[in-house]
Parts: sequence; C-alpha cells; structure tokens
Amino acid sequence: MIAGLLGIVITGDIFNMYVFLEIAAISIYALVAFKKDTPESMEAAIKYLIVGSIASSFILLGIALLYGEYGTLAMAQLAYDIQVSPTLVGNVALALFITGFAIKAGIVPMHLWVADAYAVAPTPISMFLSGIATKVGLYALFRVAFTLFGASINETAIGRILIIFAVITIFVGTSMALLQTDFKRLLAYSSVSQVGYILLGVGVGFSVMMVDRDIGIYSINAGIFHLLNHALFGALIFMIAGVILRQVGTINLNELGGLAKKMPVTTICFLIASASIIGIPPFNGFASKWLIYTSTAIYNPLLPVIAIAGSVLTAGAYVKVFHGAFSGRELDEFKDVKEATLTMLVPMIILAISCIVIGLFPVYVVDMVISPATEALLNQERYIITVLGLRGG
Amino acid sequence: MTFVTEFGYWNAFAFAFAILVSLLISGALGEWAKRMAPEYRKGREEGKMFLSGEDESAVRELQATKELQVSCHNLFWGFREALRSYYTEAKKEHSGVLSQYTFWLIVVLAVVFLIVVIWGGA
Repeated sequence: MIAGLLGIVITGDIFNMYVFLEIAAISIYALVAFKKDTPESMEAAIKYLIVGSIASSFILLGIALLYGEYGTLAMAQLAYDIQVSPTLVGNVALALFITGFAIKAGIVPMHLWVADAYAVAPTPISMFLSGIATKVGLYALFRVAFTLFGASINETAIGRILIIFAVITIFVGTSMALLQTDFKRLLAYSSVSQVGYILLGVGVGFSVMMVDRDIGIYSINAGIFHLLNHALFGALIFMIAGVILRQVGTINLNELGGLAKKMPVTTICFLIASASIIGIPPFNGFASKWLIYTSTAIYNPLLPVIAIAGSVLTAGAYVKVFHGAFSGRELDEFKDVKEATLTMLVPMIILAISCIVIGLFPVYVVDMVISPATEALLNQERYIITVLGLRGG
Repeated sequence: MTFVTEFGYWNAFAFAFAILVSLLISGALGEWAKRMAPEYRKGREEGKMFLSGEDESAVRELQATKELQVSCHNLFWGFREALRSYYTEAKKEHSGVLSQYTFWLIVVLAVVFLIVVIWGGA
C-alpha cells in the first residue's frame, strides 16, 4: 500500500500513476477485509472494491483516450501536447479523471463507501485511509488538473465544479457525522467533510486564478495546508478511537462514558485533535481554516459562511463524542479500564504536539512546505521545460 | 512568527496573550463582585449551578444512579428534529445498497461530463 501511494507521488508517467493507484487500492481492499471473520468487513471490502474498480475504469478510460489522441503517456509531453493542441477528446478524458479521482477521494455524493470502509477496517488501516489514501486521490486530481491540463482548460468552470462538490461535501459530511453513535463511523463522515474544506480552497484558487493569480495561489495554499493538517489530526483522532476500542472493547458512544478519569492522556490528545478539526485557535486546523475562510470570502461571501457553519456542526459532532466517551461519572462496567500503554501513547503525543507546533508557527510551514508545493503544482511551463529540456515552449 | 496574509495577520502568541489577559480581567471582576456583595456566601443558593431551576443536590443524587445517564444519541435532538425531512432523505441515500452507490457515480460522471465538455475548454 505504502509503495503504491509513494509511487503515485513520484511518477511522471500517467499510466504508471494508474498502476501505482491500483497497487495501493488492491492492498487497501484486502486490508479493509482484514477481519475476515466479521461479515461487516467483507461487505465493506466488496463495496469498496466495486466502487474503486469503477473509479479505476474511469481513470483508465481517460488515459486510453489521451494516449489515442496524443500518442504518449509521459505527463510532461502530454501537458505540452494538450497545451499546443487542446481537443474535445482531452476534455472528455478530463471529465473521466475528475470523476474517477473524486470517487477515490470520497467526495460527496461518491463518499458512500467511506463510512463502511473506515468503520470496519482495523484502526491503523482506517488511519491510513483517512490520513493518506483519500489525500492521494486529491493529489492525483490536482496534479492532472493543474500539471496535465493547466492553461488549456477553462479554469473558472472546473473551479466551480470543485466548489460545488466542496460545499455539498462539507454539509453532508458534517450533518451525517452528527447522527452517528459509532465513534469510527462518526470520524469517517468528519473526514469526508474535511476533504470538502481542502476542495473548497483549491476550487476557489482554480476559479480566481485567471483574474487574480495572487489570490488564486493564496487559496490553493490554504487547501493544501488543510490537506497536510488533516493528515495529522485525522490520523490522531483515529488512533484515539483505536485506543478506546482496545482498552475498553467498544466504540459505541451510547455505551461509553466517564473515560476522562481513567484515560487522562488519551483525553487530552482527543481534546487537541478535536479542537484542531473544529478549527479552534491556536491549533493547526485553525490556521488552515482561517486561510480558507479569508480566501473564499473574496470570491463569494456565502462560501465562508457555509464553511464556518460546517465547523459549527463539526464542533457539535465532537462535543457528542466528548460527552459520550469521556465526560460523565465513571461507569461500573469500565472500572478496570486502564490508560493506553506507552507504545500507543507516544505516537498520539507526537501527533498532538505536531498539531500544536504547526498551529503556533504556521508561517514556517506555509513558507517552507506549502508554497513550494503550490508553486510546483501551478508552474506547468517549468515542469514541461524541466522534463523535456525545451527552451521557450 | 506572525502570519501575514492578503487579508490581515495572525499571531498565535498574541492570541494566547489576549486570552490570558481576558481570563485575568474576568477573574478580577468576579473577585470584585464577590467583595461588593457582602451577603454572598459560598455554598448557598447564589453560588450553585443553575440547572433549569432544579435543586442541584437532588440532581447530583440522580446523577449517581444510572437513570440520569444521558447517552449521546439524546444530544442535538432539536437540530435533528428541525432537519427531519433532510435526514429522512439522507438516511435513505446512505442505505448501504451498492446499486445506490453506483447510481451516484454515474450521475456525477454525466454532470461533470456535460460541464467539462460544454464549458471546459479554454
């Protein structure tokens, strides 16, 4: 799985990207079905397999169309050819790529597999799915849209598609999270909504790029910064769910209660993670959400209102978790519950400290990590020149 | 340290300092109010929590038993009730039936296809 995910990021060939995507996906299908004795795991894995295969078919068909049209699979050569002679076939391929990668990223309404897969997968796998696997779907979507098609498409139209997806994803993700009583299922819907925030930042950036490049870059920075932050606090919160499942034996929020006194370190880590997800200052989630709110406000003042309403609903969902699992009197059935072992606590503490440090010093992360990534993503011409050795396009 | 953007700036330490000052001011105001009210005594009615008019000690006794264990599905009842029609439809769509999942994939592909093909070109 890790080899596949790393391969997607490294490769410069679009067919290799597809192959690596499949390597990662097939590993994840098997890992979701890891608890093979439980019918829920098998059901979730089969659903994910079928939905993932449809997404892969869309992507493969898009690659086939591009190969048939331009006769190459190298991304730099394809980007150059598409820029020189954009065609209708290229646009059809783009539609297939957007849908295929959106399914992989769990964007609403193609998110239905997410809750099943995240809830029943072993916790380390849920953590990987939330923190990395769906982000790779987003990465592939952005790379294809910016690096491959870049200036040859109507950025406003594509940006608007992403914004509409983002708004629906934020609302549906957070509102469905409020309903859940299974901790991991609630986290799954919460993760879906966070993907919406990432998409909102990048979508607005895409839309305004032609009008004001600085605002566009600022907005894309916001989306990518939130992507990084969600990988951290998303992984942390799934670790906490895993710790509770291991130490207590259930993650049904109706059955849990009073764990704060039994598991104080886990409770503090939960508070840090949930404050980060909600976007409470001074944690890392606030820094990226603040960038998203401010950058989207200039595009359409309604967008930050929706984004903030989403954060309020997210707060409601995590208040529910805190109330259900950690607060209240100690329950008799959990009187023998102990705090997690040191090997479980150390990774959680490292991620919690990362959330605090990035929240305190966001400027360094944006300047040293996020801005160069955005620059690499946007500078299509430099990518083509560097890879193909061309001068002056 | 200060995060300067196109829309303003953000400094987490300035925020922490502002919170600290606010806590100090509110604490000082509380102390001042207690001193200004000579009839105030800790532990009497005025120092207790307000629990919708219920007697605090009676509530605490009830809390010690399982009858008053408010499980988390009771939370946000009003919100869910206000959005009942939305939630009824949303639950139907999240039924877990695979054909419903694939239905949405095809619908989205068709919509994206139309938008990209009609307006997608530069």
